[in-house]
Amino acid sequence: MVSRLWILAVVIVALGGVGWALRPSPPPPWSQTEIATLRSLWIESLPPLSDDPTNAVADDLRAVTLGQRLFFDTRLSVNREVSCASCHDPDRHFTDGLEKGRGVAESKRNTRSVVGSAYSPWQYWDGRRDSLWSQALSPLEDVAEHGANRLELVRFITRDAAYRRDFEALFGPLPDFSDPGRFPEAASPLAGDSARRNWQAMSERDRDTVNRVFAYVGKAIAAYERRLLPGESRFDRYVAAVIDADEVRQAELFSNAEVRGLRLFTGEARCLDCHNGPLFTNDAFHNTGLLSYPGEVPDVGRVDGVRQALADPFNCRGAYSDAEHSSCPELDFVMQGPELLGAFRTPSLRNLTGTEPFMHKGQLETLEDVVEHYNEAPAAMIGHSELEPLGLGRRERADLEAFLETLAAPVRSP
Amino acid sequence: MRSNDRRRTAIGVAAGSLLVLAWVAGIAGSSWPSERGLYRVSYESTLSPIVINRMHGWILHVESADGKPLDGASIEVSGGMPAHRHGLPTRPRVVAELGDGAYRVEGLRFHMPGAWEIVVTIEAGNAVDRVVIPLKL
Repeated sequence: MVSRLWILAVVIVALGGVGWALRPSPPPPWSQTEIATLRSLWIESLPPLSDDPTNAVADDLRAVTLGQRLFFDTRLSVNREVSCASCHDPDRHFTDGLEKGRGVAESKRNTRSVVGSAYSPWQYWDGRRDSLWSQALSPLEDVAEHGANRLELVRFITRDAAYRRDFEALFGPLPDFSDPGRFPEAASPLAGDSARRNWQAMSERDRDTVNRVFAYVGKAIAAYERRLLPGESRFDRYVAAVIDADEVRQAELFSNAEVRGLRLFTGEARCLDCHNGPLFTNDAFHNTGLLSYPGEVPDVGRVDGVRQALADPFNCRGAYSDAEHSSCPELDFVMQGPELLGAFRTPSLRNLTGTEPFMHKGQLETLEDVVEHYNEAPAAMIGHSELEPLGLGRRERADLEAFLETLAAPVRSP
Repeated sequence: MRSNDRRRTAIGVAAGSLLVLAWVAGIAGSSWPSERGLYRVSYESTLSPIVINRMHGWILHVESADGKPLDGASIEVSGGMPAHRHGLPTRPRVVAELGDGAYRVEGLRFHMPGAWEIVVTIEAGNAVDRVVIPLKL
């Protein structure tokens, strides 16, 4: 009996020893170089938003309020059911949780969040618009999104007493669109056949008048969208604790797995190559070898997006931009050519939680799938992928995922 | 003893001067020869230090092989990250010739940290040559 107790005691001590040897060791402290990298990702390092010279009302508070109303107004759609918020749902970090956006019908791509997008020189996955306000205009006439047409929209704005008052306060007297001889019921260069024919039949001067008011709608919506910025996440509080060398607070804020994930993110996994800066994006275009959506030909991405941005009458150089035409460096020095085949704009990684599925067609369902994609680095279907396989093990992939979850934060609207 | 001290001081001053010279050369900027040795190029960036994701310009200083400033050359700027198999995210170009071998290039932006190469192709008369400037960000 005694000898059995002895054996039990020895086993317990031995197991305890093994446990002690395998205890999770605290992560090594960050080097000065690493702290500089963490600081570069910190939300506090986000510079103030620069002016938008193309939009004179971009920072006018009256435009912000007006833009917010327009953003949530379903009357700006063909069936009176779709607003900007239908796809950019504030409860889902201004996305929709779908593979592809759904307005009047299913659109071609995944809905990107509006939050922080004012910092990007390009909008959409393929950068086919060069400002927030020119972006805000396109869904209004897209048959899959709002499905409205330009003339109907500007007429609605001028006939609604509240909108008319607020637009005139910002932009001056609105024109009169009541003459049916000059302004048909529906007209647009983009929406359906009859609207297109009507648009062609209008005089150039009248089309210009319509375009000008249409641009006002985009400029007001953009003023609201510019205020939607990411708030402070747990990651940001952790960086503050690292900068303060407060180890107790660091341990409270980040688990060892999250610290390991962050170390992989900024190092071996090379995420920082593209997901850099406080918004975790370089706003550039990259081919990362994503599979095309089932049943679709591969999406050419930026190759076509750049062509559309240059042809857009509402771009920085266009007649409706408030900028000096000499100051459109993004268009003046824009890269074009076959290298951009299958390339898409790097998304921010702030607030991925609850915004799945991911990628330009919502091809990847979960964060785990995303990390796995970058780990495997499959060959591109068109163009060439910039990725190299990472060779991360199961635990490393889980650590990386754990870190990405720490970037969740509520939207900050100054 | 005294002469030994003096010698040591002299060596110290010489070594110190060399260090200062090297430092001055460092901040004055390096220059790079072209592949066939026809030209030499140095640059100053309007953004200093150069950081990622910011559009900015460079002033290129171009010399011929004999060290004289080269005016009237036709200059193209390209480049990329060889390790990532991609080019520049923008298409920079010479927007003004400033004289004395200086050319203003606008539209440069580097969107990733790491090893970049800026390729400056110079054509003067019928002599074309290119300079590859390495840049670590």
